[in-house]
Amino acid sequence: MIRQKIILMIVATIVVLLVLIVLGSTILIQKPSVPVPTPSPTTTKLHPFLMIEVGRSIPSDLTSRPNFKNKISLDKDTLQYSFNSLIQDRANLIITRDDKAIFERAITLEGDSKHPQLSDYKQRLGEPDAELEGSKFYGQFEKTYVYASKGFALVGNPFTGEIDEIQTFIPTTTEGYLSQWGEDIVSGQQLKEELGK
Amino acid sequence: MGLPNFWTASSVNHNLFTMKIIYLVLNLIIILTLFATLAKTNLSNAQQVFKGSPFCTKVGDPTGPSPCLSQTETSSLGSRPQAPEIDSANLRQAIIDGFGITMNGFSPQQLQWAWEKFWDVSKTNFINLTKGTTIEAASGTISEQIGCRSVRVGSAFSEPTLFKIVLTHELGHVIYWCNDDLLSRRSDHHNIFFQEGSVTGYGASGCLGTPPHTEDYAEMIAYYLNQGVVEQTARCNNRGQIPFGGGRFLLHLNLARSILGEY
Repeated sequence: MIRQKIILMIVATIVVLLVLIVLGSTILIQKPSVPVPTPSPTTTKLHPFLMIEVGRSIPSDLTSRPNFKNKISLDKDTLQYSFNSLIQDRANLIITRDDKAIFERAITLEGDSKHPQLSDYKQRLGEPDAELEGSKFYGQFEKTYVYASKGFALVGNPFTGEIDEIQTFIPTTTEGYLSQWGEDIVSGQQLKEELGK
Repeated sequence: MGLPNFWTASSVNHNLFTMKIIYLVLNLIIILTLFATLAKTNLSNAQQVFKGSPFCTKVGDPTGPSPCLSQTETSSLGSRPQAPEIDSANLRQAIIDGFGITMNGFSPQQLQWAWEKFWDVSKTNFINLTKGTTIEAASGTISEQIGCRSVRVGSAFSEPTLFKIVLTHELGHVIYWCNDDLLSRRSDHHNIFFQEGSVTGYGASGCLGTPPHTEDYAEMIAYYLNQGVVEQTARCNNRGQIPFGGGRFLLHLNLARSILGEY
């Protein structure tokens, strides 16, 4: 009798545990699948869509990577590799000089309109060296959060905190970033619309 | 001492009991496994809660541009309520109370037009996406967005159709900038703009130096909520046509419907 009771208790415990495990797993919503290029082991710390580590030689298979678009020569020693992103007219880019990566840009839009959050980066990596408002591509309120000394910048919507793209480069100063990589930034842009006939 | 006899009366009862327990447990494991496999898939496909609007649930195909409906009932979609009569002295406050939008410096006539328009679109998601905005009257016909939910609209507009277009255009910028991409669908719009171009000449030109796609977004919102109106905005390459007329810009039209619901 006692033995039967013990068996019953064990069985009941197993059943309860199984129910809890199953309920816990059903609450999770499946994440949408997103196209994730093969990440570099260190740049994935910033974002999984970054493909290479700036400052190092580029992989020999770069042009056979998924979504490779084209390669153009910017000058004698500088090449630009373009890759399709989820924004059709904003390619992911890798720029190399003497076969070493000096700049990468990745659009961080994931499937289903999801973006990484600025707050997560700030929490992990601290405040940026500079915040620059205005983008020729994204619009007047878009901000570039420059972590020049750490070698990366985030471009995003300051009102929602959504990051639209991430850039990595050889660590520099804010001025150095602006002169080398800041051509998209248009500070002080003000839109006055004269709507009407 | 003899060997234990497993088939004494008490041992038979005990063994049967144990077998019953094992049978029960196996059945439960099978049932729970089936439930876990099917329910997880169904739950994740059936519902997605938007960050910005916890009561807003996607319906229909979760992978397609399904409309994110407002809290209003399905049966009222597509209806355009008539604005109730109200004393002009109370219009400004009524707009604040009813729609969460503050309008400063406008004439009673312009407030009346705004009141009519906000009622007209009240069954869409437009108000949910723009509430909290302050609209200041600006001199002449100059309009601009100066912050997330801060807009200036020219006070010189003396014609209701144009005023309503400008009002919804500027608030279209608010939708673009002040809501998560999941609600504003600005990334989807960007690709649609790349494919279809702009719904108006003004949006295509970027003639005021801003990225055309942001202007096209505001134009898409404005002309979706003012259907049948010929392009009114700006002197920049006005095409003089009804933007969504003749089956034009279907991707834009469907996207506007996804963002705002049926108008």
